[in-house]
Amino acid sequence: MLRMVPLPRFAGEEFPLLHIMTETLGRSRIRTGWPVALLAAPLILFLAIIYVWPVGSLLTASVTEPSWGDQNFRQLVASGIYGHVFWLTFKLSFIVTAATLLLAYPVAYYLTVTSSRVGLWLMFLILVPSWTSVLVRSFGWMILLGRHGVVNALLSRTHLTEQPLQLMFNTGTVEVAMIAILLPFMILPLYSAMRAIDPTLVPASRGLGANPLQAFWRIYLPLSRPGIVTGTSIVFVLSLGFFITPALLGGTRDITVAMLILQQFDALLNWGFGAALSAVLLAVALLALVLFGWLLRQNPGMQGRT
Amino acid sequence: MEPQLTLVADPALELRALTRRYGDAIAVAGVSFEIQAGEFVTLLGPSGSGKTTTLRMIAGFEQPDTGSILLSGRDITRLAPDRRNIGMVFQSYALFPHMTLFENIAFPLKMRGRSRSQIRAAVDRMLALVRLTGLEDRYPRQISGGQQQRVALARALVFEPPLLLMDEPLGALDRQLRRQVQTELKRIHQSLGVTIVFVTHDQEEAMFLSNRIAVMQSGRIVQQGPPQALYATPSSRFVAEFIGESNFLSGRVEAIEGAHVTVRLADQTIIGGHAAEALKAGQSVDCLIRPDTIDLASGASKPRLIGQIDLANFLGDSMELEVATPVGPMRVRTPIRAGQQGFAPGQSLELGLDPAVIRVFPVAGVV
Repeated sequence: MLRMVPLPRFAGEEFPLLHIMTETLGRSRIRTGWPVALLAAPLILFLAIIYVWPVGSLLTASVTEPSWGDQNFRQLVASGIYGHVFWLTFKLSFIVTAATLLLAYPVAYYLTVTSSRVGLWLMFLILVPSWTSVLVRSFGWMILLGRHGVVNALLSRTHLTEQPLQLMFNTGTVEVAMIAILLPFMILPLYSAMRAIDPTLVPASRGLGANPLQAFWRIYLPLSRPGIVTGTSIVFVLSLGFFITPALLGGTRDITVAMLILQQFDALLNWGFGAALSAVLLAVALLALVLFGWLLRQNPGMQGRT
Repeated sequence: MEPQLTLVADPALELRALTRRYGDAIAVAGVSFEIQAGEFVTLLGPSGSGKTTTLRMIAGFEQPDTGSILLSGRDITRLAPDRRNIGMVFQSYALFPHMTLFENIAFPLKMRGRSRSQIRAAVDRMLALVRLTGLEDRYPRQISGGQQQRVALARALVFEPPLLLMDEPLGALDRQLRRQVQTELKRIHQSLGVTIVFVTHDQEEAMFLSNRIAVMQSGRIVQQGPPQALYATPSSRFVAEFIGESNFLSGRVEAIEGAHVTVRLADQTIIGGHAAEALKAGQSVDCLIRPDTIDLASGASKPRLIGQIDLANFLGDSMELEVATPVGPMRVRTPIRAGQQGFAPGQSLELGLDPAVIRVFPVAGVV
């Protein structure tokens, strides 16, 4: 599980993660010589060994296993079931991302206006769950929502229901659990972007004749866009690869691409096809990042200073 | 019955007993004020005197606890800021960073549903007024601080508000640019005839710009009037210190004849002056002597102090002298006239003190 800690802020730019990925590569602001670049060498070497090399060999496997050629990709396209799982994964990620954004936006805003003491506590409460593993939290949902779980026990104890409710193994539960896990990844970049908004801008727009809705729509929302783009891209890409939560809480129809990939490697030992599925998932995720990066650039006033 | 016609025009803005507290702290403690159409009025005071809070209440960003605000006779106290039609320039300018200069200036017109061609014409007119024609496609971060200030002004004026509020708008500019923008602002005020309420803690700026100054202290207006009147006849030591340079000589009231008092200074010199408020014989007082009212021409039939020049500072058109006297150091400012003898440290001087321009204040807290 990734740990979320508030990241350092660049001048005027928000949540540098995506920004670094899409914007500043090859466009550095301060001229740095080789000595500084050398400081990054250990990490680059480390990533090359534990990341680039395995991923590279995996991608190679998609066209070399069991034999050289594009047969794995042909199989993927030919059978409608794989496309359908991609579609389900995509839909799930989209719903989770949209719901996370809608839930996180007011929370992030509240964090920027509340007193620093309340804000600190809230931030603590937001971060604590994300320091717990996703596996443990998914089991937590099972304890809560199972046939003999806490919720059903309460309902039957109070005679509100005759039979235990089927609260698990459906898409809704997967979505709720994923939203709960991913919320901090949305709140933090939103908060970071909102904190950078000059607090006089909204009053200024009101004074110039904008009603509250116009002030939000034309001033606050566009200025919080870097946070929206960063948060949605992180949450969306993470959702695409979600595996544990849908596997534990989802029903038989809640299959994600990640589950499919595991099945190919683990149960069917079909390395070539699993690699092909991974390659397509990776491509989709990269495509999404490119799209989000493009969205971020559509905000000329917000880019780095000239 | 015939409807009654009133011939007295409503003031452009009227504040009636405004108060505002934050918890236990009173920010504004009963401010009443009238501003006539076309006036340039400055709220002047140190930080924490309530001037910005007063301005924010006029704009509608703060609600007064008690009192009311009337704009051309209409009560706007409970009106939302977007319904007040008042222009405001913020200290930070509050330009929208995601909009071009054109979009920034067009914003209030867009909110008012004006047509595209109307907006184009009005924005072009404003750009010309603030001398920024040609820069309309730039973003705020691409122009200088002085230019940003002018964009903020154009945006606040483009919808022709009857009232313009300015909250320390020149605070972020360097000294040279400040004077330039002040002149520009005065020109715009004169050409448009808009009513302006300006907030600053800079007395020089207040005197340069305003028709009228209201000096604020601890949430109250302590004195208001034209700059010349505040400079010449401050009502309290606070106002005297805040506006212009001052020398204060302490002494005791010797005699009172109407508004005229005679004061015995520490070295037994007797000087005359005008009482700023009712005084009693024997009371401890401070006498205000402006540096430019001290007469250096010898032989004048005025009370005088003998002193020695400590420092002589050449200011171009005048000299500023620090003079050590038996009653303490005095600052003197004197114009430089052709053929006049120079001033040098160590030189002896007679300082003539004209009773007509000396103001006498009771020492606070001492009777």
